[in-house]
Amino acid sequence: MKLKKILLIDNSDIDNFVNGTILRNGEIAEETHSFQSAIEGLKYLQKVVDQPKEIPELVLLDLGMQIMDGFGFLDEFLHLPKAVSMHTRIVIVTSSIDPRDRMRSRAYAAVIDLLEKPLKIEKLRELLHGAFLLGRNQKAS
Amino acid sequence: MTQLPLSTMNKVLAKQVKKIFGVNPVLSDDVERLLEVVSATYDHLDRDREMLNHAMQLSSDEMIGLYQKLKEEMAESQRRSADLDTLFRNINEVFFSVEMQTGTLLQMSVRCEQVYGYSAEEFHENSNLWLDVVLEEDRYIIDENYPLLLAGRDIQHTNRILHKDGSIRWLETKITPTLDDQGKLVRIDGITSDVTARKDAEEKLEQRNQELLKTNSELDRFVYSASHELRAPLASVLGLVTLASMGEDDPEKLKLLKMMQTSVERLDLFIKDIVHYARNSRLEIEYERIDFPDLIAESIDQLRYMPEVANIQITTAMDGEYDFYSDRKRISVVMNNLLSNAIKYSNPRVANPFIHIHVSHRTDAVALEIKDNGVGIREEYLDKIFNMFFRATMMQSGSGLGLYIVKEIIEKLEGSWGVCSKEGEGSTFHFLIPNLNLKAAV
Repeated sequence: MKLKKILLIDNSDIDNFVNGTILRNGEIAEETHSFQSAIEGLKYLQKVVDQPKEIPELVLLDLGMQIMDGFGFLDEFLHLPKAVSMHTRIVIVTSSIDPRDRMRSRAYAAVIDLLEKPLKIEKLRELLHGAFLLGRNQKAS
Repeated sequence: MTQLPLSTMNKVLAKQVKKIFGVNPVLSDDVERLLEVVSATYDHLDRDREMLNHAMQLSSDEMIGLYQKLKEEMAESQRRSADLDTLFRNINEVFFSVEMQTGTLLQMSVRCEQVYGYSAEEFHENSNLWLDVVLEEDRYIIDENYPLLLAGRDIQHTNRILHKDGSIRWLETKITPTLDDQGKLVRIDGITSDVTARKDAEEKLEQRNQELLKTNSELDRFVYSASHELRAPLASVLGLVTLASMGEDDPEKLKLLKMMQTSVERLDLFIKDIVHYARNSRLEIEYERIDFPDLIAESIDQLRYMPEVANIQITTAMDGEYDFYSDRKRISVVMNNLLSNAIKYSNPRVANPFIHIHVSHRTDAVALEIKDNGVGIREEYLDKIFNMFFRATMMQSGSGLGLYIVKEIIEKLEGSWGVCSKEGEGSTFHFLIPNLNLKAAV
């Protein structure tokens, strides 16, 4: 299974670079877009709302970011037009091991799961397989 | 004519007769009879006087006795009154009684001068004074309790007053009502004491508690934030190593990259262990119901990517069905550490490596057993494996904190632990963790 577009939102450009490369080389995404802040990521999503082909299927979201953190992004994400908020799914990728972050992330319907850094490609592949296959089945039924 | 019987005659009369008629008077019968009658009369008078004297004597003795008794009683009563006065003056409570039909203050003990700053006289003069001094915002407390008094129930309340010196004091009052035959409130008796010091202490304690809670939660946040900051660059390095390995064919370089990865992973694990240790030693226990199948599944899921895990058969058996309450985060750390040890130290030479997890629920505790057929532990190390920074083997690169943290957590949860092991055959760790259900409910 290969997704068309994945957004990477992480204030570490190294992680964006590493994860982007792994996702493209690992045949998970055709295209990745990296943003170093939650606000830039949100702006991008707002911009592509009217272009269904440009709307990413997935966002890999870091939690610990300046100005607006990952949870701030999730709160704003809820208010985006349905074309995005109902379509784009989110996987949190963080180096936090605070169980409260995992608990908190469960409150957001768009969040598939929380993965610990470094991103393990097999684990992500497994997650996406479950999430997107299930999503399609639900749509079909 | 006969001899006058002077000897039998009244003595006073006999003396008088002797004086007038001589010692042996010869008197006519008439005179003799007269003298006899006079003698009898004299005797009579003597007896009467004697009786009167006697009576007088008696009554005066009695009077003196009575007077004495009265004096004693007065002294006693004065002593008692003085005692009571001293008592009222010295104990911290103010005693008061109010006649409720008219609202008349029957008594107010002198201590009111310290407690309220107002004298008993001032209270007697102004029957509303006791309510006037109560702070406006606390008057509802008095109002709320009044119906209880009407119903004949004892009440107790704590409220603030404005002391005559301008300070605000906390008073605690206990009142007992008296109802008449018709059930009408006729009188109240009460005690009031100044509890300002106690209230202040309580407030300070509460403040201190809040500060501690804040410190604890700040510490918790600090531990996680610091570990996050430490781990983030490590994760980046690991990512870069993965990238570098992807395009690399040179086996020598791949070997170096692999070593780099192992080294960074070790540091990462160490940071995680430090976090778990810090949390366990500093944070309070959080109670919640623990669903073991769920908790174990979560642990296994987290260890899925350990290289040795693929060949190992992990089974879970449960028995008993009691609601078990304990600290989920802590028990989850215990489970992770034990399972990752069992996986790490599995025996590559056995055909069917396994890990059996057995959870047995009892009313008051859970018995947890984790059994493997891994490499086992040499007997000489058995009593050391729970020590800080102890490593029993050179073949793996742990932090030396794993089992130490397990032990610390089990101790914190007031449980017990044990281990049986034979080198080359495997190990069994068992734990008894108390159900904190009852404690949590308190």
